[in-house]
Amino acid sequence: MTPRVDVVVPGGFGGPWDARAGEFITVIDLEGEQTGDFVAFVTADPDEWLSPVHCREALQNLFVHAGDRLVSNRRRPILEVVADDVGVHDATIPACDPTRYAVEFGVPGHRNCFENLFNAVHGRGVDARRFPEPLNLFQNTPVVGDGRIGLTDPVSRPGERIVLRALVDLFGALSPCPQDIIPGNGLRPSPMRVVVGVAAHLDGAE
Amino acid sequence: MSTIDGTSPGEIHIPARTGIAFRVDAGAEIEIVDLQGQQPADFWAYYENDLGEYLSAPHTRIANMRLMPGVGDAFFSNRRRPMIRIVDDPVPVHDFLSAACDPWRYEELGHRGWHGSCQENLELAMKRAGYGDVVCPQPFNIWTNFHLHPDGRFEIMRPATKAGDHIVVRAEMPCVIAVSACPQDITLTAGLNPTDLLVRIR
Repeated sequence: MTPRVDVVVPGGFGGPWDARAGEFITVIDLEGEQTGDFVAFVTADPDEWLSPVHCREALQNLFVHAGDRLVSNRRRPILEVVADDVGVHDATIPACDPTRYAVEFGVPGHRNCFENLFNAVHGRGVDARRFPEPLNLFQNTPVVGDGRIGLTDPVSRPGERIVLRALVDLFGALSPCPQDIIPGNGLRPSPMRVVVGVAAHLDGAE
Repeated sequence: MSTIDGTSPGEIHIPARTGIAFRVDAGAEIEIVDLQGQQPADFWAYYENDLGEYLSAPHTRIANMRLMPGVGDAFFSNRRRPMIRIVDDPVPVHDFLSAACDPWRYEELGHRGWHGSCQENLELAMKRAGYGDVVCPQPFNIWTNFHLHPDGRFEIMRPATKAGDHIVVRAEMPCVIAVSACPQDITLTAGLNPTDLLVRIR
């Protein structure tokens, strides 16, 4: 069955997606070692969104695993992790943003996930001041002991993917992270593919 | 002596299950005292000149490359500026991974009808102090003891504090601070007995 949405988002840029309740959202790392910052909003009320902080409490876990039901800031399950080739995702650090590059790396005007995500959902009633923290798909921030966290490249290989199922009508955005200064994307932003439809794209390609 | 604007040194008593908001100048020290023990204090900070800039857990984690700041470390804003620094922390068992309790949390725990929550305490305290509607970011959950296991699981435990234990933080910019004496009485978060807190500003 032909998917309803099938887009390739270039590395370092952002793209929107939407999903109806029951549809599967497959995010594929086409070339490997690529983080994808991911946000989801409830279509009927964009003040309700996928919330990593509430997920941690609901799951009683720092990390997200296959089978988990991911909750909103109203503590309602809105997405379910159906399948996951990679098993390493981050739910603890923010989207990179203009300040990150301008102040901390001395590179003003660098592309960044915050603007990619925000611009992708522009005009849909989302307030920049209340913008949610993303779920960073494939991002590798291990807890390395004593509460310290590391920041390293994803372990995802070309074509590996995560499949989510929308439990309510949702829209959102994906930003294949433009970080090319420190590890996070193998120092080379690369494209990701988003497929949405009633069938799960478990093989990652047709 | 009592103040709710924080412009002069003073003490604020926070009755069990309620919250307070007050402003402080850059350089002010804020001491929070757990008067009876085993009582978490949910803590928020906003930049006084723009309440859209607030203490942000994800930005603090990446700035320090740690899950939880220690003595001398700063909490950063969502604009990546240092806002609050830990000065003294004799009982350094806190949570910095979880949301404030809110009406949906109590519904999830099976409670029927109204139940006070840290989110509502924040919203009411900010309104009472004249700041209107604000975002409720993830708080610094002082003395909340969600023990993190090596495999990423965490479990709710009683706070490690005894009566009179304290923490001192310093404001790095003029801030509006809000503190909630967590009303959680269903899980072990507040030792099944929510009690009072004291805030001293100097």
